[in-house]
Amino acid sequence: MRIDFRARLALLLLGLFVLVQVPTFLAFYYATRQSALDQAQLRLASGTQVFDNQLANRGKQLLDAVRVTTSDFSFKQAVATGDIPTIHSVLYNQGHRIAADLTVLTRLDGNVVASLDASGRTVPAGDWSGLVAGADASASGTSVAVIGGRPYQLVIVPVRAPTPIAWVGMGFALDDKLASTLKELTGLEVSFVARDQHGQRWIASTLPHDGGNVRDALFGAAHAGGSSPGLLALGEQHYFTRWQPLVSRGGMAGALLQYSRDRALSTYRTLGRELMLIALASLLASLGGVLWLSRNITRPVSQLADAARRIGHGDYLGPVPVAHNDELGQLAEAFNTMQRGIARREQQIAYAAFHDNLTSLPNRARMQQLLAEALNHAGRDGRLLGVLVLDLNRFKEINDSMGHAIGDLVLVEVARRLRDGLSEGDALARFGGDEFVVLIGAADRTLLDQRAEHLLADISRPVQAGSVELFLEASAGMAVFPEHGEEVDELLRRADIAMYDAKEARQRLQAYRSGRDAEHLHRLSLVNDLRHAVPNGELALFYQPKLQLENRHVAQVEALLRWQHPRHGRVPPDEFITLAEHSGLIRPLTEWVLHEAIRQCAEWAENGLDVGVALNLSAMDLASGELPDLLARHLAHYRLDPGRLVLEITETAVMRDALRSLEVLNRLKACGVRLAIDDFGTGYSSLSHLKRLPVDELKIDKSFVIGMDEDEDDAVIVRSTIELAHNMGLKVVAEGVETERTLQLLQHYRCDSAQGYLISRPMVAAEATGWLTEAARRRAAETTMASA
Amino acid sequence: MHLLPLSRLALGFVLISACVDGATATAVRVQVRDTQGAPVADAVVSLLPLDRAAPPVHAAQATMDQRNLSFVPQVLVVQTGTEVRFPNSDNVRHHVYSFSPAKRFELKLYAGNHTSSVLFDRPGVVTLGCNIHDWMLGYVVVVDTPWFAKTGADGTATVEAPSGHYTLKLWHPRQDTNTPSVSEPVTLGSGTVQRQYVLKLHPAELTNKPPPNLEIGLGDRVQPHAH
Repeated sequence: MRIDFRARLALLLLGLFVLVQVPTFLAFYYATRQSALDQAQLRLASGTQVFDNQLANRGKQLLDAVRVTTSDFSFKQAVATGDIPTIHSVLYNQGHRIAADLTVLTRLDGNVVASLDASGRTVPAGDWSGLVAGADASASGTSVAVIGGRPYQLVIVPVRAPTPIAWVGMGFALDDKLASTLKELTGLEVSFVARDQHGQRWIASTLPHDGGNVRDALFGAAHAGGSSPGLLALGEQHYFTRWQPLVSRGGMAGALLQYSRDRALSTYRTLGRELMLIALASLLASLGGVLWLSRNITRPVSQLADAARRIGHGDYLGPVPVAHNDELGQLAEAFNTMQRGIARREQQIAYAAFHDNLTSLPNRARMQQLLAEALNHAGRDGRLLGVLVLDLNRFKEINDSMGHAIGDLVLVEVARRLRDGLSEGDALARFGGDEFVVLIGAADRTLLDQRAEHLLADISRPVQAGSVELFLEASAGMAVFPEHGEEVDELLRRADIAMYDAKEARQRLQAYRSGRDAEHLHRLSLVNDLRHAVPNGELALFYQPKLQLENRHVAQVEALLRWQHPRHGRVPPDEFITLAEHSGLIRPLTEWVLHEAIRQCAEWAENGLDVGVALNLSAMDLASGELPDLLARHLAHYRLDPGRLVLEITETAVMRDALRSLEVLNRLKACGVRLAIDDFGTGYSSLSHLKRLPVDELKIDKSFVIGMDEDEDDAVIVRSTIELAHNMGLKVVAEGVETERTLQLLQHYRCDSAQGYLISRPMVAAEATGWLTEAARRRAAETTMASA
Repeated sequence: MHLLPLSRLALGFVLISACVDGATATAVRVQVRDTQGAPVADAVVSLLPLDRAAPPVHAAQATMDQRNLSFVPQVLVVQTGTEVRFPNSDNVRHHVYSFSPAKRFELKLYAGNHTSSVLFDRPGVVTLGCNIHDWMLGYVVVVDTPWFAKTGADGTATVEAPSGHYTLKLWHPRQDTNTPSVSEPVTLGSGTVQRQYVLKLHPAELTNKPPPNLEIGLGDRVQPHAH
């Protein structure tokens, strides 16, 4: 069972209250009860004392009264006459005067002369010798005697004339009347109990003794004796009872003094009832208090819990009521503070989620929302929208060479310039790196192009970064709504494609051309397939011989990578190498090529084919510093003479990061391999730069070589290049040799080696092996013939 | 009601000695002491002749005075037939009475009442009281013989009587009632017979003496009525 906090609190407080109150109440209740009982005992004790005193006083008074009576001369005279009728009359007279219940005259020896009751009748008085003898000893006195079965307080005095001549005894019954009188004086129930020598019982009591049971109980109590008070049950009442034996003759007599326990408890019961009432009232009051208290505590707690749930659901607007000036109030205040803090941070997070940290521009996610809204509006208004994807050219170089701080400055500046160029309804976002997306609107296509051009022109102004002035160039692709798409993603993708096209075409702005989308998708799929090309064994190296023009000897082959795509067939190297470079897949390709070429070269060397292998490195390979180590490892593994290996690097690759390239090239060179500049003439390398490179060869780009037999300019370039290279101590290889005429020209120009279809097309390894073996055999035969 | 048992021989007295003292004068000399050995005064000794009748009395008179709120003497011994006068020597009234069987009488004695007298014509002890003054206690011991005496302060009494056989009786107001009275034969022949008795006495209930602090004029009439 689940008991909520409020109920538990109430129970706890109530339990504490009961724990304190009940013992207190009980203690008070029983103390009061005990006190009442003690009071009753005290009353009984003091009442007993009063009883004794009263009885003794009464005895004295009676004694005095009897003395006065017997001192009366006429009484003495009458007694002295010995005349019985006279004596009877005078005894009655005197006894009546003092209300005696029994009047007896005896001789000095105790012989009864006359014995009368209160009404003057002669009654048996029994044997008085004993009574008189006792009285004689004290001359006179009082005692209790049981005479004729009834107890009397007996006064016996002598009749003097002037010496004793007789005894007069007067008895005063211990009867109901006396008991009542004593009850009034003592406040106790008084019962006189007597039994004469013959066993006859007598009782006088203030108690209602309608039945024999009470009499029996009283006799029982008297019989038990003992002066210590006991508890006697009489009917439904209980009495504290004290047995007060009386000095008596002629039997047993005494008084039972009683105080009703129920009477004693009656006041206490009233008190108890009041106490109970008070306890009940205080219990109810505390119950109310506890409920109020628990409600006061738990209601704010419940409110706080509700508030916490509300905040948990993301509602930060409702204030938490601060109704108390206590800890709960503080808690509610803390809730409010927390709510504000969460709301603020959530805004920050939301902002961060939708904005670029550096430039504070919206990010991709936000831009997609903005674009969607803008497309909606534009669709309604019939306006054109241009989505520009803009990428800074060579930004990586700025970052690498000048540091990220400068790079960041540049990005912020670009963002500022782009923002400045925006109009109402336009939007700008940074998609990460140096890529920005701009949304511009215009009434027609011409205006749109103008605006795009204008934005890009703004970026091309020099940027002042510290003391350096940087010239930026950006390439941008633009997709136009609704012409190039009506969906956000479509427009963005097409603008992106256009941007790449612009970059490739080295243009500032390129609008999307229809169909580029499919090409792009094809490229993407190729990239994906390229990932599996190495493990699937779809790659192969083809070898194209290089002919040494001096001795017509093939000492080298160039390894060319070919990809046999399972569905598309052979994919041109230019295409997939570029893809690999852009998608970060170039490294596994290079590793595979490096390994395969070295292995093949080592195999040929083992089979006695003295042929070197040239292979092409990508610009990416130069950027990474791991290549020299890998090279050294493979060389060592196949125990290949490094001199047989030529690494070809394009002029543009070297120029992309000249310093870094130089370092890597030096390390490669240190491995003992030879280096060649590939596609020489297409780049913009300066001679001084070329001079510092640790290269051994130049390969003249085939675009010059192919047309040189017909184009005089190309022939001049080739010839000058050969001379220049030779002057710098470099060997020269000409690519794209397709005619005998070209070969002769090259030989004439003293080019070192030639490569091209004229000599051989690229061959697979096995075919190349055969070709090389055949060439070696022919050469051996020629040598033999020559020497013969 | 208080009768002395005269005829019974007692066991409780002690005869110390008996001797004859000369032949000419016949008398009995009695010495009475209490159990402490102190002499007992006011003990009455009487000799009742056994061998003849006692000579009657003739116009004999005695006086029991009321003086200083007491009977004087406290014990008066008289022969039967004696008239006893009861004068009042005090200046207060007395009310003398006796309920004794030997003589029952009542005298209201006012001041100056001299004439009251009572004839005691029967033997016995007559106890006297005064109804006004409870402490007053007097005795008139009436004996049937002219030979009697009362012990003095020294506890002795001498009774002279002719020779012959007698019954010697001894009585004292405070003698123990449970002890038989002395009543023994005695023979007078010659000289004096000596008798010594020890009596067991109970303490005096009434002293016949007024309370010591009672201040009233007493004795005004003592001189004029001196006998």
